[in-house]
Amino acid sequence: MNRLKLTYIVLFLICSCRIVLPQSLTASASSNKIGESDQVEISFTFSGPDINSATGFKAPDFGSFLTIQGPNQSTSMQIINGAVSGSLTYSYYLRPRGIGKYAIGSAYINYKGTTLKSSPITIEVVKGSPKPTNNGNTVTDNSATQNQEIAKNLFIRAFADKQKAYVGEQVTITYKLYTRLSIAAQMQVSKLPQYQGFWCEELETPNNISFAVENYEGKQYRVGILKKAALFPSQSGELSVTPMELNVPVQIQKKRKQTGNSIFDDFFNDPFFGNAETVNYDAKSNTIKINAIPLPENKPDYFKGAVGQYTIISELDKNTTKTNEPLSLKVNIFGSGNISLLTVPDLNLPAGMEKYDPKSSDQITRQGRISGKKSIEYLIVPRNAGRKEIPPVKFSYFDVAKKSYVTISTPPYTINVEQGSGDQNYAGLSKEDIKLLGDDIRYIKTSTGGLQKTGNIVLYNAGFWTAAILPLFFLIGAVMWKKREDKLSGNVQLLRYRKAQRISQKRLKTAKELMTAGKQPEFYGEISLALFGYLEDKLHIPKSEFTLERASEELSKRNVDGDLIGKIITCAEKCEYIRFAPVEDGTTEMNNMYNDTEKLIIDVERSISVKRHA
Amino acid sequence: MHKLITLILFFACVGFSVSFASTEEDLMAKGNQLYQSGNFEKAADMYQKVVDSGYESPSLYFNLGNAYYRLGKTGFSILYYEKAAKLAPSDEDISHNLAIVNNKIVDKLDILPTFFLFKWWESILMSFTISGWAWFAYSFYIIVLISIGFYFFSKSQLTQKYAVYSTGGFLILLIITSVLLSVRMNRELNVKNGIIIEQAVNVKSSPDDKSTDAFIIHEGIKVRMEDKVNDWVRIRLRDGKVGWMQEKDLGVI
Repeated sequence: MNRLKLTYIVLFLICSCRIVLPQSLTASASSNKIGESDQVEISFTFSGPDINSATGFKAPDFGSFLTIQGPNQSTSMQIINGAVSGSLTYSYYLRPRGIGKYAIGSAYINYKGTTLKSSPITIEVVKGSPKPTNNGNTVTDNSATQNQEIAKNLFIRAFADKQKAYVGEQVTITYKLYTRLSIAAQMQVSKLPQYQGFWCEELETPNNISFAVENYEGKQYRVGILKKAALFPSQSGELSVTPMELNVPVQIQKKRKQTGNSIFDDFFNDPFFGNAETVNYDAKSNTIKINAIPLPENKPDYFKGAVGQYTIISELDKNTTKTNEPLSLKVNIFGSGNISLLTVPDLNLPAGMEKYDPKSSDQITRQGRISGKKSIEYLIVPRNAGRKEIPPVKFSYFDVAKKSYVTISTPPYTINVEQGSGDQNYAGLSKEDIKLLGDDIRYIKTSTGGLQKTGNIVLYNAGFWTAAILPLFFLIGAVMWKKREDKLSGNVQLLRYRKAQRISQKRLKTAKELMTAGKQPEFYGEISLALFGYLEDKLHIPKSEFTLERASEELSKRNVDGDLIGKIITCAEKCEYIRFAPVEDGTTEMNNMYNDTEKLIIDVERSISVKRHA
Repeated sequence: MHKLITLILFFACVGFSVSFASTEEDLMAKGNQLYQSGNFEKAADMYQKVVDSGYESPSLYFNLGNAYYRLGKTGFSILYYEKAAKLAPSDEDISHNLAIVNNKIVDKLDILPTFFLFKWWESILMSFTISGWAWFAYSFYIIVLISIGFYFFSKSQLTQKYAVYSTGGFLILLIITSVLLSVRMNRELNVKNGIIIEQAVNVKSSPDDKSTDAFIIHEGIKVRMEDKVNDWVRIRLRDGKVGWMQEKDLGVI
């Protein structure tokens, strides 16, 4: 077992030995010495067997260089005798920021857990261009004196036609090449001017520079126009245009040693003999400063930034149309100025007419002054029939010559719209919708009352339910009361029977009053009335037929206790007796009488009621 | 009978007396002044303050809708007009302005024509608010009670006959209005409508940011809110399209 394990380990080691190949990260530069305006390509190349395992590339800081392009990544793979190897390259194009010697630090890459590091490289940046031109037989001479010499004889001048301009006013700048030297090959623009704060339109210049002789500072130069541009300041203030830089290959004479024989010297100094050399010279123009003045404040309503001089011409394709048949109103604005920046003027149509987004096109002539025309086409669709007016299109601009705002307008057009055939439904709008197009919303409601707590639903209000239920109870109560009343009024006996006790109570009350007043006969009269009246009502005995005997008869018929009947009779007799023979100071007597009667009535009531219910 | 009337009046006064909010009224008056002077933004702020303090009225919502319309906020203006229309369904100014603002909506939905009976039903149902229907039902109920009272208290046979007819007639009316009231109430409490207040909303096919876009709708469209998951709501357009969107892009009417 152990031996087998060992065999595996050995085998594995052999295999892995075959796989392990050296891997490295190297840094290289396309050139170690460059001119200040040149580019250098820095490449970091990783080479190893498995480039897919190389991850996490970290480039060094190119502090003193400007990265123009990169990282560009490229890979290559090769298989030799079954061994795979590959390389992974990251390259950068850099431009130096200054002159001197600069070191570029190490780059790092992770490969299967180990970090590989490239060695730093040094790049020397020198003034001018140390690169020899393609022409093999020319010799590079980079001395400062030579450059100065060339600068005297070859330079670019930039002119602006004015130093002060309104915002939006055209400023033409011209770049002219002045030379007294012969130019060997095609010139190349190495840096274009930057027009910060301007809208720029390049003006047309002939493709081939034609040189003319011009006197400048007492010397004759051949002068050619390199470039012309129309600038429109888009903001006010001091604006500047950065210089233009041009790489000119210049042919200069290589001075021969003076042999003393001037005739031969002159002869051989002739360029014909080819002892001239070509030098790349960087010509740089001057910076232009322009003071942009803001436009005056009293801008008219229709002003939208147009500056220059314009005229307006309009044309309507027909005066009569049908509903939903489009009309086209063409408006042309001619003039000089920043045509391409003109905004399309608004066309405010009355209600019942619709317009589509206007189409506009520019035709610009770029010669000298930027001029041309802007054509705007409004497509108008009348929705309602009748005589309609298309209002004028108004356009305002700032006239630089007059230094004031000018408003121009097209004439108004009256059109006759006939009712067209077909449905009014058009572009998803119904008849009502169209009618509403020109309508405005109604004015606000000025009353401030009626504010309520949000979410106040009447049904949640306890008051509502009380107001709903109470009338119902009230009605039920009233109906019940009415029913009882009807029943009673239909039966007097029953009424009297029911009211008997109440009436007797009333009489007893008056009797009590009489008692306190000390009126004996009246008191007993009232007591007997109370008692007899009660019995009459209760026993249904008419007043005329009432006697004590009849009453006791009736009471016993109703099974009233004999004791109670006896008490009633004694009480009644006592009443009769005292009424006609009053006694001295009968207060206690009266009190007893009162209490007895009251008790009697209650007892009779109770016993009759009990009997009835039983 | 006198007693009955005074009782009803008393309860009407107690139960439904409008709680007057003087400071809110002042705010609203201030808003009206600002609107008059053309300061729509400040006016909208004022009205919004009143709304935020928990008060409402058709005029308040109407004025707020107007202010938002002037500010170019179509979605909000439709939202508040709809709120106003909910409180005062038969107000002609509100429906006029609502029609004008609805005209500004980008999306034009193709709505299938509905059967005329449904249309009638809808228009009858929507012609009064819950409170409106409640008042109708209440007045019919009171009339029914009074008719019953007449039947019992009147002496002449003719009056009693009329009382029976009137009780029957008004009882039917009471039942109809009660049904309408309950349907309207159910609608109000269970069906929530919303207005899109964002300029454009990508409606998703499920309540998730990463899910696919179902369709795009623009400001001002009225949608029915059917379901809710966290801060997502399921909406249904009037043409039947269904999707999910963030609740914050919607204003609930």
